[in-house]
Amino acid sequence: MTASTDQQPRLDRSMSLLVDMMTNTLDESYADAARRKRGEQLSADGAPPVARGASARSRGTAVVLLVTLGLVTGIAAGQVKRREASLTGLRAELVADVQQRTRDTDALAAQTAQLRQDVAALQTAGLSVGAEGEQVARQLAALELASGVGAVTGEGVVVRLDDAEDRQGAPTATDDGRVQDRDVQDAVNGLWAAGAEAISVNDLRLTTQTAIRSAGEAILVDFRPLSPPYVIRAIGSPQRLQASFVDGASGRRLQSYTELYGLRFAVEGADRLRLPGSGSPSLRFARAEVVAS
Amino acid sequence: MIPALALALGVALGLFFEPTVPAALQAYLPIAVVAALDAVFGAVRAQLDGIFDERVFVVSFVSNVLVAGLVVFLGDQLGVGGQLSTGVVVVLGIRIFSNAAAIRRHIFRA
Repeated sequence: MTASTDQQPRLDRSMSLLVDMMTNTLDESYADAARRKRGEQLSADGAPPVARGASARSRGTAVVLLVTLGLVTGIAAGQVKRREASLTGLRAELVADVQQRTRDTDALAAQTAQLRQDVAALQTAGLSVGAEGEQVARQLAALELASGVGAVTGEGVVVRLDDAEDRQGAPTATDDGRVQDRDVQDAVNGLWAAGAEAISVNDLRLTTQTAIRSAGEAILVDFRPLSPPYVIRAIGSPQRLQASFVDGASGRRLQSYTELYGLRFAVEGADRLRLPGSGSPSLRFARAEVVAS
Repeated sequence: MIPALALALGVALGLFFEPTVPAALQAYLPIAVVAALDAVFGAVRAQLDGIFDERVFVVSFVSNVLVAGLVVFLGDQLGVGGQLSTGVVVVLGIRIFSNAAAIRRHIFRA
């Protein structure tokens, strides 16, 4: 089969490039130059002066090249160091910036809450005179309840949604075991369909303008990122909500996810829930219709 | 002795003055260093073999750096610059290691 003659070809002959690379590591021209030099010495006794001058020049060039090599090495190393320093500096700057902005936002939110309380107090004071004022106040309260602007209390249900856990109890890394934005949408829609009157997700009140969507792995409600567990509070009759939500399409779907992907999903009734108001919605096109009395 | 001093002087100068290099050349610096190191290790081995020749060293040094730079430049133009520089580093690295092994055998006889 294979050539088993006296001149057996090397098994690795097809990899001559690799073999060359591993065995002939020294530049062959060194050997050539040495052979040449020996030849010159044999022919003319004593090295010729021209060759000696050229050799001195070559030696100078070699030293210059070595300095250059060191220089380039130093520059490259310095560059890597500088790049790292600028990267970590940038990161620290960004972290500080984010923390500062978060503090600013918190301060502004506190200010907003304070101002909203003031406005509510002034409104009550202004409307507490006369029967007409009281009627307007009642109307306002009803509208705030319906629109989600004002805080509300009442009995209802609490729905908890959480990512699946692996056997060690750590959060899973897979997409399947994570609560998606559409799961939260599904739960909220199911609760509305079951007769909920007001709903909040992680203490963010839902209005007609609140979007539930995702950005990357985070779920955004009202453009604010939330982290699990997702606690959905809904005000309404606990019995009715529980019965028609859990047995409804979305409840059954979420239940099946718990079996399929290990998602954690729980519904329980609550005697007293307090949902925060969402604050005034920013209407850009709608104008209140002025009814001439 | 003089070569080692020259190298150390160069490193010190490069680290101390931190000269700015044009951005287009920055990617070639490491490759140039590895290519030049290959020539240097070859020269050390030749020295120990007793066949060192300055002219050969200079020519191999310059041509090594130029060829390595050219290969990586071509790779950059073809969109495989990263892979080709890896290849250059691997090939030159193998040669550096074999030469280093030869040098070690010369010095320690082991």
